[in-house]
Amino acid sequence: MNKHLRLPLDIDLVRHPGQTVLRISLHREVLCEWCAGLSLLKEGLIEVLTVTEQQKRGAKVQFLTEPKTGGTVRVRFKSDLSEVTLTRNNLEYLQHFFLKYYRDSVAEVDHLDLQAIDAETGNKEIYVTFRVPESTAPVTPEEARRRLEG
Amino acid sequence: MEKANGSTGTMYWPGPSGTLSETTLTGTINEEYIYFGGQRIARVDRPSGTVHYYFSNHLGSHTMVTSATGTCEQDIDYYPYGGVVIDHCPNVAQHYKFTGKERDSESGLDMFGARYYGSSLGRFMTPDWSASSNPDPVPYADLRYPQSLNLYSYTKNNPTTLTDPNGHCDVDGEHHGWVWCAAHAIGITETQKEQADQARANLAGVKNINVNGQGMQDFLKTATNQQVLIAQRAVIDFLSADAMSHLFCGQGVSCGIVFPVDLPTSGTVNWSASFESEGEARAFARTKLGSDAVEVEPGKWRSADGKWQYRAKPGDVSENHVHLEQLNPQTGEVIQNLHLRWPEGTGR
Repeated sequence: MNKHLRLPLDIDLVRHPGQTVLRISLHREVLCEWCAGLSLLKEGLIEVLTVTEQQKRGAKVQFLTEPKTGGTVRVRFKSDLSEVTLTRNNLEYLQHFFLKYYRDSVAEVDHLDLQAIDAETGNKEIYVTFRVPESTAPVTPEEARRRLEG
Repeated sequence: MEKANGSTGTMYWPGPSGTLSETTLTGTINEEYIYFGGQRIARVDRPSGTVHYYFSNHLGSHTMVTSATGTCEQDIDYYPYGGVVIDHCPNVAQHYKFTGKERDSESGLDMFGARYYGSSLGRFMTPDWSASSNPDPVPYADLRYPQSLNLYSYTKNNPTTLTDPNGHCDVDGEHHGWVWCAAHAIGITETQKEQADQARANLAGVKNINVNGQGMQDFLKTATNQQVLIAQRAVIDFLSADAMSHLFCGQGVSCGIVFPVDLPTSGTVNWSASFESEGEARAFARTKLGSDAVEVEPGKWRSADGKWQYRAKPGDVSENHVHLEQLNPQTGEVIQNLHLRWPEGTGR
């Protein structure tokens, strides 16, 4: 079974020198549906979670999962959509991050990166980045140093 | 070594090439032997000081013995397996014969160190032996030569070309003295091949280290025994070092560390810190990275101990941040991911 969500979010493919970033910028109002979609995927209740931009071009990302732990996310870029296959630990990482964001109304950080490999070309310089609008304020350098020393 | 019959007998005092002197049981020297290039060349009788010169063939068998004035004292023709055909001038008692080994006057057997050899049979008198802990029934066999499977055979039945230095020690293509062989039999000494086989087993499970530009598994498939031993020594030194250390093989073998892939999990803690400038943020990251960090891929560096990772991809830098991640060096799990941010336009 598949789940199709048409959400107010932005999907961009950003090309930097030597790096390609599939950037998904979520808005706060999609959080509930997005978390539910990730949970369905993780529990195996759906096989594919498809997310479509509500506005702009209607870009599409399909999220799939595979049971293995470890390994790298695989991305397949097609003409009308991007297909992202998440390993179990990456899906758990995503779900944990967004559930916490849902619980606290503020995310730990303003974005989350998943390193990926292009399933067609083998290019490893692919990132899937999830951006969120609200995040905890950064700490000062002194506080960062103290935390790392502790 | 001692050969005795009651209170009379002979003591043999061995040297690296053979017996250096023979004495009575009370230590009075009867004969002294002189060696050159590992070959017995002369005997000095004591206390008379009479000198006998030894002349040997390509196998080290003493074919001729002369006095100091050149008088023939012994001139032996041997059968291929060491039996005496004839002694043309039997004028002196001389018991070192076929391949220079001592021939026992009572049994007629040659002492090869580990075993007695019977030249009349062309066979050793006892089977080749090994350590009791070694279950290999043919411990010194070279399976490329079926003749070596016979535990009594002499020099793979090729006695006119090959010699046996000590009764069995042609092990893995290495020649050893009888002391080494005795130690080998009880597992104290090992050939290079045996050491390398053990090293291969030890290194087979090592995943995070590459050698000569290859993963450990691929390296082990093609490496020589010596290369394997060098790699093992380097890996042991590296893994047992108390402090952060480099992996150094040397001697024509290059080693490096292959770090595990960084693996974010649901336990990864994300947080961020803000700095005055890009330069300050990067400097902060470098304090954890150390001076000998390894670039594991473009824009990603790992500290030599594998505990910290600095990630500065073009996409990160263009959005005014880099990442400092604390990792589990064994699994690559990301323990925490610190986003180091700086305001736009502050430069390095």
